[in-house]
Amino acid sequence: MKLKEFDLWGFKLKLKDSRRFTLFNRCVCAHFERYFQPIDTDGIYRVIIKLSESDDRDNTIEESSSVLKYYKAFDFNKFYDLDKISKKKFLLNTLYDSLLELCDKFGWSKEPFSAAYEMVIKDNFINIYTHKKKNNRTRKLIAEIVCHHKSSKFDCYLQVKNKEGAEVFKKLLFTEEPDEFLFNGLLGDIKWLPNDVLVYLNKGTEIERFQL
Amino acid sequence: MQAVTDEGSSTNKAGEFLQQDAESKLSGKKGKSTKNTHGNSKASTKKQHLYMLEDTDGNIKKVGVSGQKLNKNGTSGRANSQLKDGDKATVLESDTPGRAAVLQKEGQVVEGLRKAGNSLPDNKRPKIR
Repeated sequence: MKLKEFDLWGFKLKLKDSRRFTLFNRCVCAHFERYFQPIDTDGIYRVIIKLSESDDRDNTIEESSSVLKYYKAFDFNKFYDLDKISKKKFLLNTLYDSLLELCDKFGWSKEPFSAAYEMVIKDNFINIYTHKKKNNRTRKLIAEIVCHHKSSKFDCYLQVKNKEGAEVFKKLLFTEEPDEFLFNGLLGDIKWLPNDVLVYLNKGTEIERFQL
Repeated sequence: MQAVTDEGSSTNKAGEFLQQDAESKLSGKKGKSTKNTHGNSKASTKKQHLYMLEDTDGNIKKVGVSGQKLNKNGTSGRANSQLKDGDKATVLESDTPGRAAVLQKEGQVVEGLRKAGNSLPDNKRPKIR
């Protein structure tokens, strides 16, 4: 089984605070996941770092349903006092340091983790990526579904560029909370029709069409 | 809802997100023959149940569905098979007609719980379509 998903979970926080913490940290964890080259593990596809101020189970590991949970101490007061970019760095370092400890415990190579960590730093925590990309039939236009995964929201745009790379069309398709459980199902596909008609589809159903 | 086996506030936490019209929306569809339909297929018309697992801290670990018959004591064999020390399993709904209906309900419950702040660590993320 390939390890490819990572989460930070403030499991002792009140539900409202836990939700706020999750929404903020997803852009960092998803950014890390996007650059992480999945590795083979012994039946683990997701690692969750369970964070609390202090717990008897700190530095211990649990496993269920192919999900590995690692308990770690986390200074929430220090985290809340930081500015936005420092918060993201703090979260990334928490995730990365915990994962390196797991590498030692499980004998995983540290290289894919380091590579993903460095790429997130290189991007300066700006998590923007292309979900789908299609050329039109004459190859003069390129349509893309572009995702902006921020700490406050997830914006999905449809953009079209010409051969020179100049943007000729841009439309916000949807905005959702930055949580894959909510936006993954909304991410669709694009299809070019004759006469430069662009169609946005989800689950094979046409959602909207645009004449370029 | 029926056959709720374990009493507790958590049942209501999840139960409030169930939408009762899901069955009626889907019950109008003609069911395919179950002879050659896999139990996990959306086309399966076999009765299903919806269950929930909680950990020792009271956090909901996952919401799942199964087409297996409930045990005589009303518990879910599928849910029980996934229990770790201190975990608790609750059947949220039973006798749901058809896999598609129970999957729709599962999606609604998961989304509602997630929005309310539950992490659902053992639930798989929805696939990108």
